[in-house]
Amino acid sequence: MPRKKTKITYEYSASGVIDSIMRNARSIGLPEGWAKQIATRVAKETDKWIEDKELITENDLRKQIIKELKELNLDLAYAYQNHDKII
Amino acid sequence: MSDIISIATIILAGITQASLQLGLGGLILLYHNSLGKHRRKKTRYLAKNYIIGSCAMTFLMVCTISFLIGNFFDGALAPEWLTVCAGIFAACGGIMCLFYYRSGKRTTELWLPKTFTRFIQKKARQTNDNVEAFSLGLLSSFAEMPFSIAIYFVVANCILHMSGMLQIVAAVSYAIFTAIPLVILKLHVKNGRSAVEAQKWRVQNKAFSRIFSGGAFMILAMFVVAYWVM
Repeated sequence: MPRKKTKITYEYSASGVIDSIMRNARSIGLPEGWAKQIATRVAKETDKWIEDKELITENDLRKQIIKELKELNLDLAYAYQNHDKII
Repeated sequence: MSDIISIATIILAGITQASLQLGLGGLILLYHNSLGKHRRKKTRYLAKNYIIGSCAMTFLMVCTISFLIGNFFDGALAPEWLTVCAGIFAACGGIMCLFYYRSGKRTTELWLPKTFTRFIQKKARQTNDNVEAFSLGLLSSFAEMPFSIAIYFVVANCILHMSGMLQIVAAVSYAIFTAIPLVILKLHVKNGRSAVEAQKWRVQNKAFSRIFSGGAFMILAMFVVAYWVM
């Protein structure tokens, strides 16, 4: 029998994006100031991207963040993209 | 059977078990999550406790199975049981080569139930103190059981063939031997590299580790048949 999927909606927050990027940046040993700059810049871009959208999935947001990170720091983008695909 | 054959079997079994990837993946996950929220010193303690937990589970399993063999199999496994173990090794070798990793992805995700991997990921994220890291090490070592249970039986059988104090030394050495990849990762991170670099290496060399594990299982199967069954 197929399992019923639960639909939970969350309010988007730029600080959540910054926090998640900072966590990944610390785990790869990026200097704090540099990591903060990258996180703030990505959050700004994500804010712009989300402006005209009513509802997005967590996956869409993740993809957008990864796209932005790839332009700024490849290692960080890799860590962000793959942290839940290790085992 | 001489002690040298027993030691050689234990070393080969140790290499085979060390090539399993779940424990290493769990430690990388722990590093990744812990470095993101704790100081490096605390992460070092967490990693140390994870490794000790993993060794403790291996040691306890070897001791438990030695006890079972000693009491229920008259002190040694019959050649029929060892043949069954060799058959399981051969099957594990095939499974390692073909199905160990989820195919078609540039990740090191294993063929484990999703609920189980989510549980380990959740535990790795929530690990904040040494006891939790220790129990995560125990858990990840226990989760490798479908592949390692037959190895434990063969190792316990070899240990029971050894003399006196050598049995304890062999059980402890085996537990330490299986943790070598974890210790290498710990040294790698201690030398200033990140866990992400290690993960990238694992992804790039996925085929190598698959063939290495599969080959180790096959060789162990042949070794057991050649020296313990025939």
